[in-house]
Amino acid sequence: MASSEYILRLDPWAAEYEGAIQIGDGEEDAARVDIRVESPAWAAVRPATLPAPRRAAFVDGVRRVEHRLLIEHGERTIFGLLGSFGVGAVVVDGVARVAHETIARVAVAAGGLSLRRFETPVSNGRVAVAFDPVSEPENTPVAPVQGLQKAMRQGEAALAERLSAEADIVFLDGPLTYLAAAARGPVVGFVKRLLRTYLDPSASALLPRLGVGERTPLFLVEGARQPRYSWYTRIGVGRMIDSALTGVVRLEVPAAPGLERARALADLAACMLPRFASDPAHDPRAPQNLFPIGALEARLKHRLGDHAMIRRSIEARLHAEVMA
Amino acid sequence: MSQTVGRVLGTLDAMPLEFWVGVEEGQYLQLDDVVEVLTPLPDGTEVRLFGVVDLVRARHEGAKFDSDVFLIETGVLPATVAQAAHVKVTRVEPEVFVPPRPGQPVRRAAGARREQALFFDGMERRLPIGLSRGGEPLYANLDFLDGSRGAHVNVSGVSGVATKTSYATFLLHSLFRSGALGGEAANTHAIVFNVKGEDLLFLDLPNARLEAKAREDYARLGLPAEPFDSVQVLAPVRPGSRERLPATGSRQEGVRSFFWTIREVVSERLLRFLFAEADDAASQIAFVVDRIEARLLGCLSVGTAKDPWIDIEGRRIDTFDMLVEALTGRDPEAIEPKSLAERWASPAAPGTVQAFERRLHAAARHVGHLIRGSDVGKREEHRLDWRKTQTSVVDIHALHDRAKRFVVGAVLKKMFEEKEALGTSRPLVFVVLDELNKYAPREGGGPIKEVLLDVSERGRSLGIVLVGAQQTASEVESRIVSNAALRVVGRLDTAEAERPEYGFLTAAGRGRAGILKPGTMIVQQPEIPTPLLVRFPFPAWATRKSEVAPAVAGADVFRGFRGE
Repeated sequence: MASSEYILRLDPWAAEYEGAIQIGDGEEDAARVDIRVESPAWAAVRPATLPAPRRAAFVDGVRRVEHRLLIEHGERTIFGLLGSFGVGAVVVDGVARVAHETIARVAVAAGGLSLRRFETPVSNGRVAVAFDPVSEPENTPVAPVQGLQKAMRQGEAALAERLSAEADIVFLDGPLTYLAAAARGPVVGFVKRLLRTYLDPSASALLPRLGVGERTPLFLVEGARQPRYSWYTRIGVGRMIDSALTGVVRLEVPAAPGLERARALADLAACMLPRFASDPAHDPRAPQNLFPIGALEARLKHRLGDHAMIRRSIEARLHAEVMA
Repeated sequence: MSQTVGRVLGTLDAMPLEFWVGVEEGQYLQLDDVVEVLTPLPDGTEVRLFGVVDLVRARHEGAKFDSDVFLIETGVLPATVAQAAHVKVTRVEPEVFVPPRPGQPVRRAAGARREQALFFDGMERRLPIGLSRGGEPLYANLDFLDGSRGAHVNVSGVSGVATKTSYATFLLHSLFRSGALGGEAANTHAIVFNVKGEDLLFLDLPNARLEAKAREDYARLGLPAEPFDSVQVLAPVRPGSRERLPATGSRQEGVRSFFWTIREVVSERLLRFLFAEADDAASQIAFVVDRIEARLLGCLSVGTAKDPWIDIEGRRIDTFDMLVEALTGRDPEAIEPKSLAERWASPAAPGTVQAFERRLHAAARHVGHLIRGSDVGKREEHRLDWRKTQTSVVDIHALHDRAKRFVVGAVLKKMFEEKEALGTSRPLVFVVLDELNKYAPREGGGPIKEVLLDVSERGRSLGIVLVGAQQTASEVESRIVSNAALRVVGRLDTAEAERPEYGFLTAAGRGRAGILKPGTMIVQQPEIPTPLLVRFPFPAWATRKSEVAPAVAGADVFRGFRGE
């Protein structure tokens, strides 16, 4: 279908109301779990204290919907959006520093439509922000946001893979859904929100009892995605009023490199992560939202540019089209 | 080629007269650095802004709380150190007062650009006034010192480190030896009052402690690392010394004594300088003094102008004590005993005359030995003739305050009258006087203050330049301070630095005035809108006996044979 026939119009539903939509993010429901892969006993493991890794990295991204679009395409009305995302890492080797920041912008159209690159001038016309086309097959209101999320996740995974070549351990925000199947580096998926439990209730009972720096034994998860080893660890304790699971995160690594490799990473993570756990004064999502991640998010959000300014420039551009 | 050190910040307002610079990674800007930035105008022309860094700061970006610094240092929290410098604009070329565009590269101004930034390029006759901390020479426009467009220097700073007089003498050295005055330098004179200590008594002797580094500094300033030549040192005559020996301290050689004859005191109307205490002015004593001076003039008819003595109503007055006695003595056998002063001062109130008499008695104690009517020897050997040498040092440090005032007043009045009679502004005479607050205090009047005000207000056209110094400018007559074209500040008490007299200092300048090291001054001059921090080299001349280079001290024995 020729893409030149569409007309872009703004969705009156302001972009900020979309932020609340949670995207599934690849937490599978149908998975087989084997909790006996590491040891026959399901009990807390406290790894011996390990030296801090020479170099560790934390990879994360942020995204923002600049404007939601309704695209008139022949008879169809297609959902779309103009969005920005940023991906970066905090590399810790003695000092912590933000590195490899990348800002990208996408023009997402649902229903399989591919838009043209959308450019709009900012900074007194000295710079243009460009939104590159991304297409989502389904035409649902949530599809464009999924397209944006996916683009960000892919960026994160690619950066994590790249960094894993030079770091002892790379923490990638979220599950490893977008990590290439062939990736062999020490990339650890860091799931800070326990939306879905992989354990049956009796095994789950161990989680609240985990001490800081302790972890559960590894368990193998097999399902639609690549098989992977996963475990829970406590990086900090919440306040009295917080849930008992506050401070417990789930980590995962690909199963392919083997159990020993997974165990080494699990022990290293359990040792080092409590140091990076944030406190409630800094971050309402403490302690799960690690200090480096929080700082990185703030930095990346800042790097996305001024929301109001970009929105206005998009509006000005569309306005010029209408008036033409 | 000057190097880009940063860019104009856009997060803080950039303005035509001040702006902030974000300092690039791997670069730094420090206080007093001179920078330049080009900013484009819509018509394609460019405006060049020059400025001096007056504030620098560094902070963590990405940190929210003070405690974040610990997290950052332990490698938990990422943050960047951002450095910024505030620039006070000194010059805009062409004069289109637009703010520099945020993001424009800022460069360190070097060479010709730096001279432009500090207006040195427009100074036809420039006087080295010290080195920047980067070791580059800084200049003042001589036009503002020699009376062409301004005159006078005022130096403030706490005492104890002799920085004020050191800087004043450094300026003299620069005036005499930099070549800024051209051919005039040889015929330019200085009268230096040594008010405290003995640090100005060795101006003509090389400093043995002068190190190679200081010599380099002099070389960079284009000045010879040499002591003053053509110096005469005068010290007060020893009390009761018939041989007219000078009352010297550690310096013995080449010092002449000075004093006045009674006839001079009368004919030049110097008596008033004996009544220069701050409280004297408030009373009616000035009136009495005036009357008595006038009557004493009438006594000059007996004797010749060369005679040191005078004759009052048939009594020959040979000593100051006799003068006091003649004026205040009462005949106990008279029916109504009245002193000569009372009779002459009539109709002044008796109380006022008595106050005059009391002060005259006090003056006799402290000043009497400086005024004599006999044993005067060859008069010209014991009188200050400032034209005889380039620099004349008048040592008054050991005198009582009353005597100091008398000497300063008498010397300046004489010199002022001589210059007035000449009617030209040349030769230039520089007068170095510390403790200005004693001679021209803010409160009260008095004859010395009048002379100093005359110098300050009319000296410019007469070629008399006052290099005054004091601990605190707030205690000195404000007209004298504000008439000074060159305002210099050494280390200041922090409370003092807040006073309006130092309004020319920037906020950072005030802070720094509290921690200035000896050898560093802040100089404000009319053409440059920001005060400059200058470092001046260690004196090439001795400032105390122990600094006198021994070999030269020996050679000094032959000074007399060299016709000096």
